[in-house]
Amino acid sequence: MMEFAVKLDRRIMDILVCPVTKGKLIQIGEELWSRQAGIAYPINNGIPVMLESETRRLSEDEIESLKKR
Amino acid sequence: MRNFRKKTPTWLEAQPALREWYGSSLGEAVLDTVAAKFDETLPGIFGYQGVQVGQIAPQRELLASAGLHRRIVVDSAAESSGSHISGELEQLPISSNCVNLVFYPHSLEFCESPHVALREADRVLTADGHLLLMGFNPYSQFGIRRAVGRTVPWNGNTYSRGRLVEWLSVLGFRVLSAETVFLRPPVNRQRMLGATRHLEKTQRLFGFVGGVYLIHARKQSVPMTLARQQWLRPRGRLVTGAFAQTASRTARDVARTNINSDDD
Repeated sequence: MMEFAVKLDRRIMDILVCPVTKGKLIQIGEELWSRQAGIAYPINNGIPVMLESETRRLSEDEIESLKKR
Repeated sequence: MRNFRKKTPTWLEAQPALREWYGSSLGEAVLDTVAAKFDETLPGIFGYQGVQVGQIAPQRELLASAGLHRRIVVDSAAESSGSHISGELEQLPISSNCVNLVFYPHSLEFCESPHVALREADRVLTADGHLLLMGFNPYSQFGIRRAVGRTVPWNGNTYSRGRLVEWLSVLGFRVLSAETVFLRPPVNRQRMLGATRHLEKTQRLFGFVGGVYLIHARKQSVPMTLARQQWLRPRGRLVTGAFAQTASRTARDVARTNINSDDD
């Protein structure tokens, strides 16, 4: 499932940052992960949803796996 | 003008209602006037990408006449993929110094802290980037209409043109134009709006009481190195009768003076 997720347009990814920390985002599946904030933003039908209410907290393991990248 | 009596919805809550209102007869008439004004001013703007914060009219491209390569829309509930991002006004999910134009339609009116929103615009804009603000003028018929309205768009906090211009100058923007348009009464009746169409011709005379303000400002940037005026530079002191010696001595000069002193 994760492998088939559509990559966001690179031009959108270039300007998109985490609204809380203004840090970089990494697309993992249908989510955008912010390492500094430790939260994941969903992507709905190709539209990144950068609303704090829609976010999901990343678990310790997930943050660890980001550090290895 | 701050709204003390009524409950102002947040920017996210107000977006769907604003879109609905701009589908009404009055909303369409306002859009027509604003689009005509933009067609005059925007062709002078060039850049790679522009951001519109709040999609007030999905069927209309207000920024179409600007010379932009790409238009990105940040909205509460984005519809089409590609150039839409769902985001918040006070926390724009856009990296700093990368956008050539920012357009705030009614954004400051439904905003908890408009200063934060303006600072966000300042952050994302590149040097010499353009900022466009649009909203209702409190000193107009729209301002009077606002006093009795309790729904969107009438329950927002309106700010006068002068106040916004002052805020922008504090943030270091250069205001290129700040005008108000739409002199027809704020009545949502097609017939009434058609009958009062001729009022628009008095724009030059009564331009200051237009219902909608449009402010065009540009982010000013200080060049990296401040170059001093040529005539202000300190020059060497004039010494008569001899060449002035430079303060620093080369190795050869030092050696020569040492030899001379040895001879003595």
